Amino acid sequence: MLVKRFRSWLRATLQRRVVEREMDDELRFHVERYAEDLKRGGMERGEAERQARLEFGSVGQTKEACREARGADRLDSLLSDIHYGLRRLRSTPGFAGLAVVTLALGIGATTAVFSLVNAVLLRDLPYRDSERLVFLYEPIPGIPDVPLEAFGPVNGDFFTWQKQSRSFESMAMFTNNGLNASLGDAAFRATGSRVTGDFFRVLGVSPALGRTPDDADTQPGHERVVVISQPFWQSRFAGDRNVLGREMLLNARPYRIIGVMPAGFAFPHGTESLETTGKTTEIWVPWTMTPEQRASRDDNPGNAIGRLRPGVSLSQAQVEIAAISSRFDPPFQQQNRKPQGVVRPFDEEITGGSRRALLIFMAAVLLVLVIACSNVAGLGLARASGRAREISIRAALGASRLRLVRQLLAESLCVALAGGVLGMAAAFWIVRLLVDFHPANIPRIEETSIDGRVLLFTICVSLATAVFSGLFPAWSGSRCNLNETIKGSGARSVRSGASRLHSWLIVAEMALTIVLLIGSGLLIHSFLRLRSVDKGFASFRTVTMGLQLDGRYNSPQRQNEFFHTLVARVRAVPGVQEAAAVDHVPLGGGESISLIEVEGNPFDEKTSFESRSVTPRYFAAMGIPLLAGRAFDDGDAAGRTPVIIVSRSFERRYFPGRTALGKRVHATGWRTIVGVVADVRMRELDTTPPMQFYSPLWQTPTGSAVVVVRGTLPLERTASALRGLVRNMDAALAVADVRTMEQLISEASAERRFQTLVLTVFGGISLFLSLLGLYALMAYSVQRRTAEIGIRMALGAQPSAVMGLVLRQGATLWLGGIALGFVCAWSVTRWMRSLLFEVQPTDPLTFVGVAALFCAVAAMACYVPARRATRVDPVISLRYE
Amino acid sequence: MAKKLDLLQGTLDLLILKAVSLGPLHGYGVLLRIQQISGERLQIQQGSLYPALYRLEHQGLIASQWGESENKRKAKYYRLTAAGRRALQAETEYWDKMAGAIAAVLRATPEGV
Repeated sequence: MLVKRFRSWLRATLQRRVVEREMDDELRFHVERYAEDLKRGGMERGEAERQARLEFGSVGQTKEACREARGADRLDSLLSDIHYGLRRLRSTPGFAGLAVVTLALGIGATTAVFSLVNAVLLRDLPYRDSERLVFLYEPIPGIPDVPLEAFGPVNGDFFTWQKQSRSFESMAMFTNNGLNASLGDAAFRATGSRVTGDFFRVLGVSPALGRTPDDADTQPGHERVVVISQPFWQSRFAGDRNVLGREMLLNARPYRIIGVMPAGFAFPHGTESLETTGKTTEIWVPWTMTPEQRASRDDNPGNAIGRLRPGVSLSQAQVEIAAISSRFDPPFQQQNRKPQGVVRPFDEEITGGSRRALLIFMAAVLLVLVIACSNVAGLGLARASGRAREISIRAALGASRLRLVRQLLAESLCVALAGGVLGMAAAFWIVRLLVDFHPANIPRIEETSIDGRVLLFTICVSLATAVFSGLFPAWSGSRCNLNETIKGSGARSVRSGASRLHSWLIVAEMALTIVLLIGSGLLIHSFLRLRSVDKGFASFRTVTMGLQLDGRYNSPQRQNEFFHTLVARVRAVPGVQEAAAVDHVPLGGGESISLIEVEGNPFDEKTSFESRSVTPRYFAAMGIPLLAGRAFDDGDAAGRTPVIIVSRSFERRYFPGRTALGKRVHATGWRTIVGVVADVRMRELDTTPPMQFYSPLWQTPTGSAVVVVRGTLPLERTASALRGLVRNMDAALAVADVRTMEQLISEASAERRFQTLVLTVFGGISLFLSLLGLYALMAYSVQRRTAEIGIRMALGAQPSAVMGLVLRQGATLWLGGIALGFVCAWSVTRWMRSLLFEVQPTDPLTFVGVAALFCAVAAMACYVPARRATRVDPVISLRYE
Repeated sequence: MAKKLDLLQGTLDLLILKAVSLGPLHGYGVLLRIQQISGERLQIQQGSLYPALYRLEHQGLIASQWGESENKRKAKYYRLTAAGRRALQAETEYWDKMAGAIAAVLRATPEGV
């Protein structure tokens, strides 16, 4: 049955001409036979033929119904509709071009943003069954302002989880480190990760070459081995397959390479929720732990991941981990608080906070698309009412309303598909631009590409666009009063339903544009605020670079000695004005948070402080103003009176109206406050700094520090001078992350800049589109009112009055759009509060600014048609009809 | 001439099937045969006949073939297929049941209820 139908359909479709001819023959045969019968019945020949045709009814309609009955109709009439549509479009290239370009803009932008969303949020992570992967945390309750991600489990508790839980197939811990690597010549910094035995099994990734570490490799005393990443293999070993077994120095110790990971595998670096320097991991080192280290519950050096057993849900795993954790002893500082265990889905931790920004982008770009569609719909409406006569004639010849709608829709389908193809090309280009712009904080964005899903999305969007932009005009165009139009009086009516609909469309479009403009205006305002925020330090001519000592510097004296010598030598370089070292430079990505007791106040475990260890000239080198007391000096050495310097908000909080100098603070022993400095934005530019304190580096030694150099030398000269100094002191150490403070500031605001840029571009596009729409509406309306204007002028209206007439009409529209847009913006901008900085979602300045901008450009869009109205020649216009 | 009856919705297909079951017919012939059997009582819109023929052919219930008409002209002849025969039988039974049921309802008297 189905086969037969298909065959019949196929024949009807493929042999269209034959079938059509047969149909003609058949119907003609019928009419002729009937006429013959009528004649035989005594009717006159001509009369019989007329009667036969009359009784048969419309041959065209019958044929149409027959085609439909054959099933050939669908494709067939679509093809003929498209054919006809294309012919119509060719006859109005201006309309067609404008509509196609408008839709291409909308579809292109939408496709580009969707391909970002696809790459970052939708596409599966490159791990086997990645939906079964989770992160595990062990937060200490009651510590505020510390993200969950900072609470990797302490070693002992992790191994207890691993031993006792039944929900997990495997579990692993890992760290993110910088490594001083060397292949025999100059040392360089590589991004590395220490991993426990099951790490690669959890992720389900196999090496491209060699093997991954197993449990035996993590035993102390076992040979030291590493696995390297594919890009590292390519750049450092030129992709040599004999790399297995080669040795390399990591932190001055030899390691043997046992495997190369496949391209694209770069975990854990580049994970949104983890503090990592660098976007990809280059070296994985088995994490060797002594039994004491495995049992330690004192510190949490790593993060934990796990793979759920098949069929185990996240909440089941959460319940189990929480139950195991509740049996742990409390952490040593917080006897009254129970430890917790938290299980989080892996993919959310990878993409983290970019989800919200991307969804806002998506919403914004959909607005742009809607604006583009209503623009094209507006153009279509104007065009459809210009075609009223053509449509009425088609209706009079027997086209049903549905048939007319379908035919008009076919036209917008052509436009939308052309727009889709062009938009796809635009999307390629936009994606390239977006990724090149490299928004620092969106993970996986470099994976963005146009894949099958994006293609499908674009096709669906194009079809939806065809319907949205075509349905209004098609419906209103196909509703025609046959008599009126054919008699010719239809075109004279000044305002018809279609043009009212058109006005509403344009008003709605302008309102959406206002919403987008206000959104991007708020972001721009925030960004300007952020640019001028008091950072607490001076970024001018300051270069920073990281240094990490290895296990050979195993005593505080050696560490101090190294940094002391280095800083002294850097200060001696000509052109260097100040040099200092600090454990974590502001905005550099590292963080150290402490709980301390202030003399005269009870210990408060809910208040955390940012703490830094600095060498004496740090405040001068970083340009941090000293507000009271003194900076550190070389007298604040190890073994001397322990001292501390606090921030201004620290002093205000604990010693309001008094001086903090001379007071004492308990932070690794009692320390005396000797100075007060300004608050510094250390972690982010857009958060108010918490209370901060500084201790002398010599009294709190560290093996990893950032050297800060202020001077007149350019970045490269400073960097090479410092590299030379370090090489002379210890060739196994590598200088990493050489950046100016300006670069760090720019990186810290990169995400915000990206968001602002994207939304501003969308706002600009929609502004352009809606003004185009307004212009088209006004031009069309002036054209329709030519006769009316002609009469007015013939009766003595001045050009200025005519211009006022048109401008008033335009102003009503755009003021309506602004009012409607304000109402919408008022209710939706609060959703973007988290993206704003020191700016309210209802910021009056932004609202007024956007309104002013819009009025100015809208007036320009109306001016041209208004000018044209004043040039109407009454004589010509009255003959126009 | 008696007043002609308009066709009930959906009965044209059945009539066509019945008409061609008595022997192959061209479109005009179908029209004539239905009118003839019904004693000229059924009114068929001539234009609506062909879409119905095409639909039935598309459904595989009738098949067509070009042949020569009584007056030596080329005409398209329709005949019933096996599937059409089954459909005709089923439709006829359905019609009988329906007609019987409706007739029974219409015959009902107050006493009978």
